[in-house]
Amino acid sequence: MAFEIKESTDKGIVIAELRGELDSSSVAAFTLGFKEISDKHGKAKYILDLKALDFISSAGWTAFLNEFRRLGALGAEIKLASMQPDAKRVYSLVGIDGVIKSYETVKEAADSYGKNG
Amino acid sequence: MNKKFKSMKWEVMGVVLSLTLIITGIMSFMLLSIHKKSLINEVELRGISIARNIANNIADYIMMKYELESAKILKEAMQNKGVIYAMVVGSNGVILAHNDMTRVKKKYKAPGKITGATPAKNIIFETPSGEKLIEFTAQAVAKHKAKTGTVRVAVSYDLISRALKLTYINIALVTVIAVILSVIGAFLLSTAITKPINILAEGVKIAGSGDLNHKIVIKSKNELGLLAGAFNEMTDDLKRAQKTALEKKAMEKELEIASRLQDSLLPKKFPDMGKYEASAFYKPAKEIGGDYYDVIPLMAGKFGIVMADVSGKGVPAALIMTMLRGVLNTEARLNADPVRVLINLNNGLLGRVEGNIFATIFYAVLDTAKGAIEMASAGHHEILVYKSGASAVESYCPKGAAIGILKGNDFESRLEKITINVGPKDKLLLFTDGISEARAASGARFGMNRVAESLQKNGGKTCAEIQQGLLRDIEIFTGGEEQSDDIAVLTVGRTA
Repeated sequence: MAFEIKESTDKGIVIAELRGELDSSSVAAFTLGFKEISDKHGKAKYILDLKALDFISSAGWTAFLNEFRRLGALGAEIKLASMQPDAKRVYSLVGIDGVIKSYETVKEAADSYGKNG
Repeated sequence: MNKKFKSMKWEVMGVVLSLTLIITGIMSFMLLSIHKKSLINEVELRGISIARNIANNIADYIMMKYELESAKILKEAMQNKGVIYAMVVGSNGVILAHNDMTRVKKKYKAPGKITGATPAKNIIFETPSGEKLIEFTAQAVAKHKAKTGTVRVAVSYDLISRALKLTYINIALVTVIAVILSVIGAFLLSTAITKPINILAEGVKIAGSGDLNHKIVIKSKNELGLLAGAFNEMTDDLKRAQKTALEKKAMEKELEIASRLQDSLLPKKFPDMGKYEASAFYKPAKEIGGDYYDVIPLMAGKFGIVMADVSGKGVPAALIMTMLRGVLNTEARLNADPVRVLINLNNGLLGRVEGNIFATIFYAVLDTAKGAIEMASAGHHEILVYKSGASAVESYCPKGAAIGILKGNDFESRLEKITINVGPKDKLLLFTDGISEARAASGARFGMNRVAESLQKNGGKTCAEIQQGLLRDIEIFTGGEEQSDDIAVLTVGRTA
């Protein structure tokens, strides 16, 4: 399935819903799409909703780390939500869990922003 | 430029000039002929009216032979412009009265030879001295309708010629002015056309010589302005295309360098491991990644076994792989513990790895004397082990994190070491995610289970055969779909 990125906002939190497969062939689509969203909102709280993202290759994880660090430098935050089991395995195997926070649902991720301000 | 080049300017000017000449010529001809007709008409009316006037007034005097009165009437008639003579000729051809009294009673003689007639049929004569005149006649009829003679009045034809001459001069003047104006107009018009064309031609020449930054400035909003706009767009497109081509070339060069770098890192043959053998296969994807495998001979029958995958692509990934290989080879020889090797590797590379490239590494130390393997993993996925005794495939994935993501204790505390025994004919299958993530046209991935099934099927064979079997299974699964990631497989097995 082709990669898609869709944006919505909920109580000031920017939610980017990713669908399809994120690998070396679609990573550019993610980077461009997310750049457009982040250029619009700038320093904000972001959640990547990965519920419908069926596959993430190492290129995809690299892109997540890139965006996390790029936006982090601007004072923005990114959190991951609703990761599929395979992705979650790689997420902790590679150690990305030590850098980007992940939550079971978008709501939990949004709530965590509320708690930490 | 071509020597035979003839500017459009001259062509335009030639056409405009010719048209002006033709139009003024036709108009002059028409004007002159109309003018001539009207002049003749006017002279004729006047001549006829003078002749009739004389005829009406003179008839009775002629009848009564009042010569003085007759001469007075004729003299009065002579006051009219252009009148040459006026006379009354009797029916016998003898002049009865004449403005020149000496001619009276002499025989009337035609004033010269006939050269033509006017539209009203009055005769045009040319006198021996070359003068042209028109003779008008009227019958002088006295009371009781007695015919007394024929009045003959000559009016100079040169009057018409002189009036026409003046018209000729005027027309010639107008024609000259029209030609001068049309030449100036044609020059301005042709310059207005050729100037932007020359600017365009110059621009095309400059762009053709390679300067695609040159812009053609034509302010007019007509077709030439449109053409200049299109030309500027074309040079912009060409510039973009050239840039893309250069970038592509640079990228191809980079990929070639990366490919050569990576190729130079991979071992061409493995060290002699006694009862153990190793076999490897590597196939890069179109975009070079950074897969690396190795068997490093250590002290006392020990060997370091490596399978690594750098997440980035191209030269940066290949360079990091070079660094990683260097540090790993040193650390492997200095430390017997695979966990310590990975910690030192992370510490050594963390500061130097720019950007967000990370590397997953599976590192194990094979002790051939003890028949044991100690393994650790920096975020690499599981390896598979074929246990010959049980004909079973086992999967091992020591915990950890990829090199380049976490620092110090965050990294160290995650690492786990697993030790397993290696029995006779047991096989270790190490690979990168290019294998498990190989994609079929349907979108399905090969997956870890299929790798295990392949190993289960071929585990009893040699390392090379296990690999061949695995690659064949992948090819059947993907249906020849182009691989998106590098494929690297390292099989290490105990022969006896």
